[in-house]
Amino acid sequence: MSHSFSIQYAQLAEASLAYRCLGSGQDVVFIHGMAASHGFWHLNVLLPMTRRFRVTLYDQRGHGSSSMPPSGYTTAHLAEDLRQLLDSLQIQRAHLVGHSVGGAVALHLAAEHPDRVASLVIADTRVRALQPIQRPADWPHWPGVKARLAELGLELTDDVNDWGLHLFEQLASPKFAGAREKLAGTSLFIPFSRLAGGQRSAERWLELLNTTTARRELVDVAGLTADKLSQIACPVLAMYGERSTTLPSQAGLAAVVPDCRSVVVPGAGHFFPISCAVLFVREVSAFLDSQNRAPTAAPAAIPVVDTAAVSLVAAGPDRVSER
Amino acid sequence: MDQSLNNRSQNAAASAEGYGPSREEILPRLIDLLTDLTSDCDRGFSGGIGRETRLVADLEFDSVDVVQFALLIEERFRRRKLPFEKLLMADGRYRDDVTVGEVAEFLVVCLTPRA
Repeated sequence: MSHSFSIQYAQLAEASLAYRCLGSGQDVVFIHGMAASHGFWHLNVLLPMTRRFRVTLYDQRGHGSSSMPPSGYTTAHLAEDLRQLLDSLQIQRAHLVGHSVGGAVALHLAAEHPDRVASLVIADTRVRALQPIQRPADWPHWPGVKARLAELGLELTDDVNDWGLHLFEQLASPKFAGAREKLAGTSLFIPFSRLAGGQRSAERWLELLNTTTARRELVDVAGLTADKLSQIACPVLAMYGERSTTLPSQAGLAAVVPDCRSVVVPGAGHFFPISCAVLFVREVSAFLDSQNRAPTAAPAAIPVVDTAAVSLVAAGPDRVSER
Repeated sequence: MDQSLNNRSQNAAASAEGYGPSREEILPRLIDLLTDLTSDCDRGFSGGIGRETRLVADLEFDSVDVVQFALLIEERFRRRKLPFEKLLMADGRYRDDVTVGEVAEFLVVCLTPRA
């Protein structure tokens, strides 16, 4: 039974997905990342977006209040869930905003079903075909972060791949409840903050990793190859944190996606959509506004993309500590 | 004149002139609104809603519930684009809970005219 106002459920072929719709206007669908739920999207993002768009939020299978099938957790499966959700809501075409794995789901849908996607905001998504290895040791900020994690009793080896998955598996464990308390309010804690579902999100994440095929499937390329990405025809905003380990994926996207605009958030880590919410909303709004100004009847010309032309946006004062 | 009495009479006068609700009106209106909002939900909270009630710990709000609460406040108080973004931030960190009394004080600042 629902604990939240206006939460609804869509019965799809393989899963029941919890979703909510807010506001009115063009359709914008927000897609959360690993270990999170639709509660990830904070008031400071949603309120300004809801004033201008019809915002749809949902829990991906195995997360939040959606069902947890035993398998089907590749980004291809998750994108098919999204397509069916759009059908169920009678949304023919939407702008998609995806954080982390949610961005890979959005890319997948845009590549497979271009008629359903008006534009994409890809926020700090590691694109596995473009960034197959993501080891802490390759990240310039790792020594400082490692020391900080060690203070909290969290341990990651220098060469573990998919270290985000391992880090949030540790953080979700009851053993590290104290560490979660110490991180409360900071950027790293966001997936398990009380407003994002808190203890319940942590418990669901452990259940997902331990009782389904998600651990193996979430890290699969699942057909989202460079060739497939090059077929994405809609405008893409690739927004990444300057201090994020996924940053190499941004250059990769700019090189292969025909219409890709790149923005780096100075000093920000992986959770900048929430930790730098004001700036995030400003960039997303400007991007969506630029779609509406663009001529709709001239899709043939593919823009020439200068992959070095990455804009750095000024960070405003309304941001949360990254430490 | 007693300062609080003075404030009350100023707020009441402002309210009568249509500038907004008085400090005294805001808390009970907020409690009525929350009672309506939570009446259809299966939440663990069974006590009465008051100034000390916490939105997350007591009423089990998540971030989207807070958005819906904010939009309903704007509708009921007939004001648009109140700066709710400030309500959940303090000293460079997000606050992960807020009391009904704190929301009421936020609205007093937003809705009542300055002396």
